[in-house]
Amino acid sequence: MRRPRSRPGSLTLLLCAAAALFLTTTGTRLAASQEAVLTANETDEEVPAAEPWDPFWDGLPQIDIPVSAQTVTPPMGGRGSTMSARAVHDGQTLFLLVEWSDPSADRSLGRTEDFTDAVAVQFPAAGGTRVPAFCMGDPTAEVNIWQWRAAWQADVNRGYRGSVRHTYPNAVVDAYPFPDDPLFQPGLEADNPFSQTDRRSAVDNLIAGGFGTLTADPFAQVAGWGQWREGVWRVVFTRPLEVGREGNVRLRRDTWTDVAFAIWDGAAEERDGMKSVANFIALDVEPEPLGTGGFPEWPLLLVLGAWVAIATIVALDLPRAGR
Amino acid sequence: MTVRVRVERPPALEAAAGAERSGTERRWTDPALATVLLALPVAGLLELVLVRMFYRVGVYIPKDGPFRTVYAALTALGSYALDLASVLAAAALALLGIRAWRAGRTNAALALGAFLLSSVIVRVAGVEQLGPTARLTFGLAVVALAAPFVRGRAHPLRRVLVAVVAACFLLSSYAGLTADGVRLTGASTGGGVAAQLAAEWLVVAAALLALAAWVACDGPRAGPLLISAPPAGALLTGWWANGAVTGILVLWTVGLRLFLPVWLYALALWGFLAAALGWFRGHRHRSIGLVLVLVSGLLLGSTYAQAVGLVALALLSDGAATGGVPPLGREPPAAAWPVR
Repeated sequence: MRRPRSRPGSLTLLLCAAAALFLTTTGTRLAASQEAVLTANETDEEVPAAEPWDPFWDGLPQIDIPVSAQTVTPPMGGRGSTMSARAVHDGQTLFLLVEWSDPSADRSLGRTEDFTDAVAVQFPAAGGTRVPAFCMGDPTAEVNIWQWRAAWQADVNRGYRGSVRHTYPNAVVDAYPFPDDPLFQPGLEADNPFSQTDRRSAVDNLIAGGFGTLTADPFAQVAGWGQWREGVWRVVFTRPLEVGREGNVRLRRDTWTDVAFAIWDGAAEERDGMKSVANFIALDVEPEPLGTGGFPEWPLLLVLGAWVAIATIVALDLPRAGR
Repeated sequence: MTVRVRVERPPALEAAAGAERSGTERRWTDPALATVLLALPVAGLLELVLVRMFYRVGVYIPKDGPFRTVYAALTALGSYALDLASVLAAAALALLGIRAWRAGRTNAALALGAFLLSSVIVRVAGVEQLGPTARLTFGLAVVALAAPFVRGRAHPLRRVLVAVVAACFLLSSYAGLTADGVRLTGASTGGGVAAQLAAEWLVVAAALLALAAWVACDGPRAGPLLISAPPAGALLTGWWANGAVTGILVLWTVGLRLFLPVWLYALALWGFLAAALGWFRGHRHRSIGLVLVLVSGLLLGSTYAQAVGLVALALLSDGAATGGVPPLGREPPAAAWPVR
């Protein structure tokens, strides 16, 4: 039995190793990503940012995103399900709509046992050197998080109702000492985001660089509106494309970034790390107008034409190959 | 009394013999392909452990003192392993394509060439321009590689195994194509997530089929069955000890969500490893094919993963679509393979 000569094999292996070394040292990747891409085309229409159920949104391309339980760090929780996302921009502002099923709308945080529905989108923060870990980033690659809460939305829509008077209307209190003295309301006095009673936005702008590092970065231009209808939440996030703010994601026309998602189900007592998460997908802020699609027509037609031709040849040859 | 025994040749052998008859010289491609096919699973497994698992876990660990140096060294090695595996996978496909062309298997040669070309185009032009190109040609190559074997005369269990692996790849690709379709047409055909879940069912089935095919073709041996038990037990133990961490590691490495009962995955892992070990002595290419299925993962999130998946399919099907595969290491040449 004749064995293959080893010289061509060794030479091939050497060439492959050298090519890989070149790729590694130059930071070039041979493979191309095949991850899902969320495309935000440009529109000149007025975007109904405060109306998530406006028919405008149904006209946007939608991608489905699988989410799974957060199982990296305690407290763990969540479940496997599917959410969807759509995006559009008007040259100045990015609008990102997310949609997911939730049989009950949980909008209260008044009682200890109340937990709110919520959703968050997460981007690599400006200044990061690489794509961060999708669970809250890491010290060398921070993340910028926009978190919308149903309870905050209720506060914006109808005013703050988390007080004892609203939560327990039949409760009787003889007297509260110093009811207006900030010394006895440290949360409010310290601007704790959870203690706000005069909320203007249902979205918190946050920055994190790993577990336990989540920090609020109050920024009025990050906004969002959510509405629940027949077992489905729809939330629209908005933010100007360019804000030049440290730690906040850079969004520019004709550029790509990454976006990850997380949802909380208040009825399941989910909060903090107890959530359902989706890994990063690509977000393409496309200069092409809405309706033209993200693909230039002629290369696409060329590709599809070539594919049909090759597929035909392969299909015609298959019966012979099977013999 | 004269007894006539008709000995059938496997498709791979037929093709190889045809190529020999035509006087095709394989002076350098065969040993080159054999070397590449032996090196690919090593580089792929190294990448799987160091990049997909260690790098991602490591970002959560404070990197102080000596660990910082170790972390940097291992992630650099992992990065190199990823690049090496990418190059090896591309080289393997190119050499398999050449082999198929020489053996007169033009459909496989064309499909593999189209996939390689589209991978390069997508890499250069960017996925935003030609996103579905690689996925479409990948699907085509999967069919071109699997169909001749599935329709051939090998043992039915092996044919079903190849068909199920191909179906996994196609379902996973469909999930990606639904997202591409949104970009193309603005509308979603839907079912992407369901396709991923169905593919995960099939992964479990494929692992058990691999075990059944090995037992049916080669007969059971105690060694592989026993050696495979501890890793399967470790998966169960890991799940019971800390299901969260075990779950995320499995998701990161091979893309499985573990939504089925975990004992089923442990059983599948046992079967998968037993088949891979069992075939290693006599049919090393099949063992490597199984390992490469593991390396490619379920999500097929890059053209590298797709390329590895195609090499795996070619090996699992004994190279039926590519004029056979050269003997790997101490594996006997194709002529010695039994018809089963």
